[in-house]
Amino acid sequence: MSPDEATIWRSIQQKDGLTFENYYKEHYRFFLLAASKYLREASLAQEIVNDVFVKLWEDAGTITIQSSLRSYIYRAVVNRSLNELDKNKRDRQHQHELSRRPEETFESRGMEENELKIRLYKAIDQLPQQCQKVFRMSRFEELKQQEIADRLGISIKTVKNHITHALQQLNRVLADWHSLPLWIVMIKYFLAPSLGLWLLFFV
Amino acid sequence: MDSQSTYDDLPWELIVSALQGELSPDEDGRLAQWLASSSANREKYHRLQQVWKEDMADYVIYQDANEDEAWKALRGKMNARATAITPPFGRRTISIKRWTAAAAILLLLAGAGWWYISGRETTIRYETAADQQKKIPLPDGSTVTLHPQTHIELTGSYNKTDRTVKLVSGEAYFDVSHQELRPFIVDMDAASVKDIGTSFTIEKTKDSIKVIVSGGKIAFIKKATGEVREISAGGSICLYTTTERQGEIRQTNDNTDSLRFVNASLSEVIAVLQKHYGKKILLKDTAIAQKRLTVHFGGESFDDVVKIICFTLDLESVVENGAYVLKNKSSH
Repeated sequence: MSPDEATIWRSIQQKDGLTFENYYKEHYRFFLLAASKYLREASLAQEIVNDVFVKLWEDAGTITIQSSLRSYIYRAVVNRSLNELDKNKRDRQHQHELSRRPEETFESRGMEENELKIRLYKAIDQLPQQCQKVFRMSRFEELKQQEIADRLGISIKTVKNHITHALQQLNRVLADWHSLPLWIVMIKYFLAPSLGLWLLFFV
Repeated sequence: MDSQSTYDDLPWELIVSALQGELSPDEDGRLAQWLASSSANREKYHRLQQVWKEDMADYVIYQDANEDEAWKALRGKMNARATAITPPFGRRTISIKRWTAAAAILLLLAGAGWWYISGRETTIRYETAADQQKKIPLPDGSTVTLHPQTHIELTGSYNKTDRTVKLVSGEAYFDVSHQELRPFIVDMDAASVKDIGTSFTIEKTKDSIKVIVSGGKIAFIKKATGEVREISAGGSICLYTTTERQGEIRQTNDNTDSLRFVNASLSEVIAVLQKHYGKKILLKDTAIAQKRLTVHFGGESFDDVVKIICFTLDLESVVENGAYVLKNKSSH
């Protein structure tokens, strides 16, 4: 666990409601997306995330977290989402998929993908207003360049420029992202859990 | 326009049009040429395609998400469950190897950590600075809002064996989720307040303890004498703790200025009035006890209060042996 996470976790264990609230709000979308990957219904996904946080709050005193707080919650959210699927869908195809529960590597990849999505979405939120609008019309409303130009009273060239700008920003997020993982993953998934064992060697 | 070289050496205009599915035959040819020229180009294009298509798939969920609403829902869930007490121990499956490692580490750390932990776990402190206000949700669903320069403490047994909050100093507003079996108590050394389903504000200074009740009812307990006073919504009480006024209690506005009943049964109303005015009210016919009324008394005399009730419910009153008797107008 990073020092920041450790402080947050300790506060939550000590029933610091404000820290709990802040942590929840800061990471809500991340966990919501994680649940949405399995449950397409947003309200159900929210339900799952909230169930996990209620449990976390109630049992904080008795929970031991070995990796990071975030991956602990992530795992809980994914497992609960799968259970929910299990409950609702009983066809064989699905059962088969469920029998292959996420393993550690699969899970860390899922987390990374999720994190990348959040970063991309945040980048969209930070685009200039008009650029955001054009991007959304193009990607989510699937409007043609000409239609967007007509609706907003701008030229096709401007439409293209806006989308180019948006994509460049997203490309930048990608570039940053791909220059990160190796050492982050090292710290997150290998160093932290084994720190305890190192201690044993030293004593 | 060939926009190569504008950014990262990518032909953005071609890429943008390709992703939107709006390539002209000429552009299509140029893009194909660019893709064919290197595997790095193909990889970059493929990545952008993935961002445009798959990675954007959940954006709508992300965009529609509302942390504040979700948090409210979570609070509701926490409150609903708070009454279900004792949290079960999480059943975790841990391999023997990990158990051994964990046990060894625990043993090693236990000694060193003992003094540290023993000093901390028992009490949780919440404090606010001069310009700060803090709302603290408690595990049982109650909340405490600390006004500036306030200090409260919770023991580790909160919501396990008791629900006691210690107000060390300052002012705080308590919104209590009532539990019959486990009363909520605010301890202030000289006095304590026990909720009877309520919300209230307490201000503790060096010289006094003041409680203002905004909803429901509380019991104010003066520890030195064990004296108990019940205060209802709209009422307040002040206990002085300085040496010169030691133990003096001033109960203000408690029902004298304001007595509110909303769709209350006559029996409830009478119970409050009897206590408040110290007079006895009897009902000739028990059936009328179930009559309901909504009324607000603002410091009227007892006689007037009785008159108003009679008028509202179409009753009449007579005095028999020093007690007021209410009965239906028609019955004799």
